[in-house]
Amino acid sequence: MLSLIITGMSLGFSAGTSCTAVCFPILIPYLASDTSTRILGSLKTVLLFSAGRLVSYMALGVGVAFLLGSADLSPLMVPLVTLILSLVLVLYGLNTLGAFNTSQKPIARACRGITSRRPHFIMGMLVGLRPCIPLIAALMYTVNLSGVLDVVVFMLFFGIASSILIIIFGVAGRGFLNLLVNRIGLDRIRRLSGLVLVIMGAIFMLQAVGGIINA
Amino acid sequence: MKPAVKSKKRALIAAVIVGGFGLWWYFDPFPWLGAVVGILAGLFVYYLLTSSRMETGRRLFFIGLNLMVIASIVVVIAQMGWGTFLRWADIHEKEYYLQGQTSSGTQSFPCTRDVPQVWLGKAAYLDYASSWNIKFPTTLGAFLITLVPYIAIGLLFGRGVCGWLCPFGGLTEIFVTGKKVRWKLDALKRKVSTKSGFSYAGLKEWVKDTKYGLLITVVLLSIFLSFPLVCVFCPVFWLEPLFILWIMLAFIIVFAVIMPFMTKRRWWCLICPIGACFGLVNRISFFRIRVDKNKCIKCYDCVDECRMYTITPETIEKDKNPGDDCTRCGRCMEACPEDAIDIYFMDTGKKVRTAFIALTIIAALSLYIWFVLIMVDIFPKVIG
Repeated sequence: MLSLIITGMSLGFSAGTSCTAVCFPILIPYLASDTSTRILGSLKTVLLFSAGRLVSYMALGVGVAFLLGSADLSPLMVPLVTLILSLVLVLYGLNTLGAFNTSQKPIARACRGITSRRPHFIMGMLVGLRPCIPLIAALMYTVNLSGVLDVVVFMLFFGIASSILIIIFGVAGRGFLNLLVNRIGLDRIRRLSGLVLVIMGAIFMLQAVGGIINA
Repeated sequence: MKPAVKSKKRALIAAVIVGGFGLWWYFDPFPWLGAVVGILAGLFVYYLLTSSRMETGRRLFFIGLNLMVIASIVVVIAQMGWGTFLRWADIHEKEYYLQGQTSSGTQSFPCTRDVPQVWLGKAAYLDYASSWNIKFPTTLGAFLITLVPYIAIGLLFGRGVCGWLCPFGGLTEIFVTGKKVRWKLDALKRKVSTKSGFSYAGLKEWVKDTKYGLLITVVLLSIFLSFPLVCVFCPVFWLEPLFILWIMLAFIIVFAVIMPFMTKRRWWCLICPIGACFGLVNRISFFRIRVDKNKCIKCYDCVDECRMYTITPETIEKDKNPGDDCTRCGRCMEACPEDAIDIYFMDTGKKVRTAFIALTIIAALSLYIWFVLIMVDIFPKVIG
């Protein structure tokens, strides 16, 4: 078990930069869209986001090891998850921009309801379900493990180690954003973050549609 | 609008300097081209400085440059064939643009990362091969050689680049011709009334910030996914996965053709992330448009004429620069009945319209040499 933990953590540490690269373009504007500028609040957001990723990693690990028997995920899985993520990003971005604030149309009200709570955990889960190269390497490793507990422990420690940089940079990112807030104001930061979330969502949507067509 | 110069002698000196630059820059490999460009550039600068219709002259020049860009792209594709061109776009980064490699015989269009080398005269055009000879820089070299000249250009002109130099700005300029506004787009605007009772429709804040949103997205993706930022703005990058090309073409048609034509405003420049970069340095650039409050009679003709929604009654009353989006196009200067608007050196009271025009034409001459040489050298070969 100890060797599993050490292997998972080693792989996770080495994948940290890559994981940060995948998560940051989403995490930073997401943090910036928050109405609170408290560092502790951001820490909670990043921890919940990372917890969502961990759950996804463990679910993927169990699924790959015991359902698929190989790390060859369905070519449709990543585009579909990306599509859902892109919809969440676009809706959340539009909500940050205040697009649903005044309208009483049923669709606007529904969107307002969906986006009224900040979905840190779900966002983390969706990001975690888009496997990057280190995660695929970790999943390949799980195929050779014998028990569910082994897979869960391995993926848990892989996820924890790969989240450390994300947590550090997430909190540091909030500090940097606070400097910007002092300079250009919270409203403008939120407006910009809303725009970035919408644009990022649109880019992911295109990527997802391209992936679905190719699959 | 009064001409930029009081005495024609100054205009003549500026024309000779710019003409001399054109002669020198275009002399190699075709001396006759240097002579033609030098004479035309000199005459044009003389006209801009002595005429009271600077904006009209600028538009003609800008539209002409843009038509040449479009024509030269068509010429290169005709020369290579569409299939070969697409194949080249797909493999160019792996095969041709390797660090430290001297590229020749393959590049009718140099890489966007080489633009500053062309700008600085470090790239040689080989007429026998109809291509550029460029030593492709290392990563750090590419970064520095790209960044430093762009910062310098930004400091000099700010968003003047969008109004005088950028090909996309030129494309937009074609379609804002005319006066009839067909679409009002009230959903994107907010009504503002001044204390004096003048009311106008400015853009909503989120519309103005869209370009910064795009810029931040591109920067985030570029940093965290490790690809050169400049590639995102390169048309060849758009060609690699073809669907991006169609999306970009749709964007260009909507924002640089349809919306400018329907609203008579420069929508491409209002959402462009490169414009956003130049907008960030607009406030510290050397050449700035300013309204002389002592001369201003608050008719606000300039506000109605501004195609970027950037000059507003607030900026005039607070004696501020027009803002991040001012492209120094000169429409407000031409519209002002009191000659209260001009180009100043930073926040001083020194008018520098002459220097601005001369330097801008020099920058345009150095930048557009690619396209001029394609039209001069490759076009005759294509048409046989």
